[in-house]
Amino acid sequence: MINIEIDGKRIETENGTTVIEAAHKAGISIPHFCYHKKLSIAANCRMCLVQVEKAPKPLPACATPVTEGMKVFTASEQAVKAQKGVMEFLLVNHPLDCPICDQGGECMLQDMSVGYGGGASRYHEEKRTVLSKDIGPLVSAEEMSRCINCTRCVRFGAEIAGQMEMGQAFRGEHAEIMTFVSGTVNSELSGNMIDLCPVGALTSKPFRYKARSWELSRRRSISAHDSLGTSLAVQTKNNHVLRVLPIENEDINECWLSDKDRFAYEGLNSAERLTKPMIKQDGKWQEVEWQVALEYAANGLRHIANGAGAEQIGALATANSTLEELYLLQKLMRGIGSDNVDFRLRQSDFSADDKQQGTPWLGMPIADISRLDSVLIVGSFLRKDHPLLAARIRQAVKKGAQANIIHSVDDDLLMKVANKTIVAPDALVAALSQVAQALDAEKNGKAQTASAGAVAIAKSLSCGGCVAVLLGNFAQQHPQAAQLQALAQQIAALSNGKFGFIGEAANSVGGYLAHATPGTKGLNAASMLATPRKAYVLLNVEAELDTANPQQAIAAMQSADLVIAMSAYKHHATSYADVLLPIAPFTETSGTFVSTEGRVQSFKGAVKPLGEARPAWKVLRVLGNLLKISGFDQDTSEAVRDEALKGVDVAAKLSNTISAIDTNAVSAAGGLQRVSDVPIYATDAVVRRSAPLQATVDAATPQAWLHSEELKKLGVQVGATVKVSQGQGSVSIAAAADDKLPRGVVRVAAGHAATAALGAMFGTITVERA
Amino acid sequence: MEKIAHFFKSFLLIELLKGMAVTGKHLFSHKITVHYPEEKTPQSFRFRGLHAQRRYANGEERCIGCKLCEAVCPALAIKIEVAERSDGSRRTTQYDIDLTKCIFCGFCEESCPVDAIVETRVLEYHGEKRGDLYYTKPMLLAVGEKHEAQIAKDRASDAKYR
Amino acid sequence: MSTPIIFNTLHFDQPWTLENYLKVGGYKALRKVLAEKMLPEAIIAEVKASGLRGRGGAGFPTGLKWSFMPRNYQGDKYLVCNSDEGEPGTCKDRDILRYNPHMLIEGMAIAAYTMSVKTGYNYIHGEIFEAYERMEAACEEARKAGYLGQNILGSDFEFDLHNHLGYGAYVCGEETALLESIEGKKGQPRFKPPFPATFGLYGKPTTINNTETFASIPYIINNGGQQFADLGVPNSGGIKLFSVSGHVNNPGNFEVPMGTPFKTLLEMAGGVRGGNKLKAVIPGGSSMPVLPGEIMMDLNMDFDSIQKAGSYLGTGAIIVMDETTCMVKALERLSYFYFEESCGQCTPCREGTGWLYRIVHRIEHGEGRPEDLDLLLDLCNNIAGRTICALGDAAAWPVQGFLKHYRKEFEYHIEHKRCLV
Repeated sequence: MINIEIDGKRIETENGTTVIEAAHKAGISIPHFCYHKKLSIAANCRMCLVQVEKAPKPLPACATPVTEGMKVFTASEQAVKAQKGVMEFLLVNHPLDCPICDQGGECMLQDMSVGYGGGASRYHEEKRTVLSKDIGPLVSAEEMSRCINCTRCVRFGAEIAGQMEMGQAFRGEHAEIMTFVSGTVNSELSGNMIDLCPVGALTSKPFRYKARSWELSRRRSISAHDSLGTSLAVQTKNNHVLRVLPIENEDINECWLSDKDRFAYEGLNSAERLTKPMIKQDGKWQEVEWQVALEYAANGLRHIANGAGAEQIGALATANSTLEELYLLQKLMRGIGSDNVDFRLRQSDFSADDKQQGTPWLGMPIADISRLDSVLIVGSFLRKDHPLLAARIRQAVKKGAQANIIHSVDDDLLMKVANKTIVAPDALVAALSQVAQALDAEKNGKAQTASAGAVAIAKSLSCGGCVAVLLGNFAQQHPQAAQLQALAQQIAALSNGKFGFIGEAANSVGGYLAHATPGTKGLNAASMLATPRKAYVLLNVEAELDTANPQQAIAAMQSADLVIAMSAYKHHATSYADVLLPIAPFTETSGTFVSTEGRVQSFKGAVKPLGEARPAWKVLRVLGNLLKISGFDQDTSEAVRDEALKGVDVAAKLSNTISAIDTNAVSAAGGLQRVSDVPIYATDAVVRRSAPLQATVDAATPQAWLHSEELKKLGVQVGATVKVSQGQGSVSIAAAADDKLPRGVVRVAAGHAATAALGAMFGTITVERA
Repeated sequence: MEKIAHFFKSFLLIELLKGMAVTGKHLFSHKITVHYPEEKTPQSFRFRGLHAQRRYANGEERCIGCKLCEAVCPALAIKIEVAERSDGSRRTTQYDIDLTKCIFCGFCEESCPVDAIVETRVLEYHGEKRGDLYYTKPMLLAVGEKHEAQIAKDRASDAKYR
Repeated sequence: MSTPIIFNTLHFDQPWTLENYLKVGGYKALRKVLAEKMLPEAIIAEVKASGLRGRGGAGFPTGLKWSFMPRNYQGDKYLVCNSDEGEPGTCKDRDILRYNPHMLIEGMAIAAYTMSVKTGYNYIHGEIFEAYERMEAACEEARKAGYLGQNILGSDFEFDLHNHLGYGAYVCGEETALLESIEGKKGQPRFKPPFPATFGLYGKPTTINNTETFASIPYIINNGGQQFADLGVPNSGGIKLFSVSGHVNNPGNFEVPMGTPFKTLLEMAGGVRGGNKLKAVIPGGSSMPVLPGEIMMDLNMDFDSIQKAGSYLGTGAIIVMDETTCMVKALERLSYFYFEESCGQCTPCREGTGWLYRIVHRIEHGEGRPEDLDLLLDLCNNIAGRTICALGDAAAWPVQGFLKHYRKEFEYHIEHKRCLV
């Protein structure tokens, strides 16, 4: 600790901090543009020049380290003259278009020019114009003349997003920020450049001219699109969500937001929104009053329960439903007498259900990920499934942590990967057990018999520091998920580390806490669809997109006598459902998400439900009343939450421990195996309907990716259409080559309409020339 | 002493004469009352009357929908909706002033960066129904077109003070 | 000046060959260093005693700079020669590369030995391709003869030198921009601290010196620091190459001792052209403040004298202007150079250099305003000392210098919309 003095105020600060950090900590503001606490220091805007005693000229506070006894004056004559001088330079070429600039009202340059700018310009020459650029559907670089070349966007790309998509080209006054050879910005974190841009050069494309900043009201919310529980500010005007911004939360999202969370709101007001309850009568859909629809649904359920039996009713919900909704859904089902309720729709292996007591979770707080020394990530499309977690691991790797990967695809994680083992899905268990074996040998001084790759990973994991094994979506959806879990547990124990699941969706932990899982008598999601029920209650589910086996799901729905679909959108359910009940997406209802680190976060609705849509917890409550089930008299979602979590110590419930399970590698199946990811912008109903997200490169139509040798074997050219089939279904999509894939696999995305006719996300698949 | 002074003042009707003197003076002085509506008082070029939306000489509407007038209006009389026009420029799709709310403070005019919303010298207008005084964008533009010559002249006279 | 020290091979037909260099005692110093196994401290002490100050413009004592290199650093260290000679008026380094490349190689090898560096880079200005080729050929010769590479002259000392041709950006002459450029990045100066001695090329300790500085080293080792120092004057040791250009009859590079009177130098350059009167001189490369001719005629060419007169010795490039020169036009050209060469990284330089140029341009073209001169000075104050590198200063100083001594001419231009001369 050293002592310095800023503006006469004595400050004790850590050695190695810069003047601006010390000043900010002491509550003294120093004007700045290029400085950002999460980015490297550029010192190029020169706005933070301050006077330092004994220094002959003003020094940039952002780049000047503190020294013992230093005396800094942030508002002395010299400092202010320097700051005003810089402000004048910044403004000479800045257009005076604040009235039409989307940044107007929340612009750093605008704010700062009030304090440091002159009343009139001394610059009478022509201003510089910079041509607009098209850098993709999310970020608008329409008005690059506004750019002050602070390079925050450039540094963000290079340092946080992991890829330098923006750069400063040309020299001097001709310097411009642009993408490389007019490319687009494709990072899944690109929206943060909008927040970082201190002026209106990079703005949100969907938000262009939608509202002025002072017109918006701001509501706190929680992200519904991944399991991190990111803190959001939902900004609304006239009962419309117009923008979503991050709220700084060092423990979760730091100050970032993934593009998925930022731009998904565009799907909220899609034309597909279901705004009135509907009933199918004589094969025709009719809009009806709520009362009619609810009674129809209740009568239907009662009829089936009394006739075929309550066990013929199944309830399926997506894991991005709120805790309250999931809780009331399972309560309704159990009130009817059915134990068939599940929210783990893409899971295929449920053998761990009776072998684990706790609720599977991340196994550690998210913030701890930054402190890892070595991490083994098993089966995760990390960058696309959990963009912010990937960014956190990227930072840890930059600080020296080692990332080890075991997976069936080798996508670029934009970070240094220490070791990786890329195998076909059916060899995943074997690959992981090799690591366990190698670790065991390493630890107990036995001779190494495992493969070199496994030994390298084992060496990395036995570094003695902070170690974790993380199971991603692919591992959780894997047909041998329980075995992977058991092996991860073994590896974590051998390396004195932790292990956990990176939850798939907003409420992957909450669903367990709400008991939205089948009891011992009930059927899980897979069995409910494999052995079709007579009636289904669907909550937020699009059967062909949200399930592990779309073919099976659609067949089950079509054979059912009654399908009650609670949905915010009028989607494919119209072909198999009998009742459509319009419910509110997360911005229009209050609720609770339990994030993957077990953080219980409640939020309020930001806007009123659209049309006649109603919060799902209210719909379920009324259904309970109509079915005369007791305990459905909650008045608020808070009451539901308190009931669901009554006497529950969430922290104590979280546990990944699994009792002994045999790990046996399956014999390799003949033919090609399917590897499927759920593309980043196909994960849930809202995201699928966000037009700007669907216009990105990441939302391109799925292709059949194969190793080029496999393509050669099939006699298929890259780009040619191939017929991909599973079971009775087939789709025609383009073939593509990815030589980083293991042999014998085809990568075909799930969760997308173009591949919804296919079967299970894992297993054999055939590819033929079309 | 005071009493004596008072006696003389009232005896000589000095107060009365003083009063009559004022009357007398005004009898012969220049009159400022006018016979409205046949006669009208002169107006300042800063007169704040009926609002108008202006256009540029090429016919393009001036308003860019920055909403500063809406934000500054103390009576919340202005309502604006904005959208991107097909040529990419920012334009209003709705610009309403509720003259029954308006207090004619002139802040809207003062805040306008492009001199689009102005207050004209027009003070003789009426509505037969309450809704008649709810001026929409076409109405405001029509006022502007009608009085553009005067408006431009008034802005020019005021320019040197701004 | 009887025997030149740096251009000691010029009397040969092909002064650049190894053969000719050896004839004048080339590589003797390196041989001595390696044979005697001289201690690095001893070499640094000699260099300090020589009073050698950096010849690239800033005049930082070379011995002191060398002593900043971390001694016991594990890992790579680098030695970089700054031959990115871009300052208008300066043309001395290219002549060293062209006519005596081996002296540079020898100097760098000694420096590398002193700081136990194995790899050196010579960053050559992008517009002097001929010099690059000659330097490459010289390195090849040296490698073959065992002056570069492994086991130099039979010792266990190892050093190799790589030539790197830049792309002609002026800002890459700034040492950290030069490092960025070698690393393959955009040539933009880094913020200092950290200085290159701790965080240089590829983040490793790096010493960067000017070509002429390195070329002075062999003499110092051969004859001792004191003898070199005695050639010059106190605080400005040794000899110096002066590039005299502009309105003189015989422009060129002149190797003279520090402290030589300007008058002598002007005579060596054949005097002012056409017998015209001397009007102004920029004594140290175009970025230094201009001095009027009458002041210059009484000055000696060393660091202290020039500084006392209000300018700097800089690179020793002397730009002579005679009485026919329009000072506004001259400044316009200089300002345009700095405007075009600003790297665009930090605000005052990116925006300010263009503004400066435009105002001077306006004055030159008869559109000046009376308030422009004060505006220029104010802008200069806002640029100088506020930027990451010295390019901001380099852009501001000429303006300040011209206005200080020739304000009248500018005022005349504004008033009469034409030249005074």
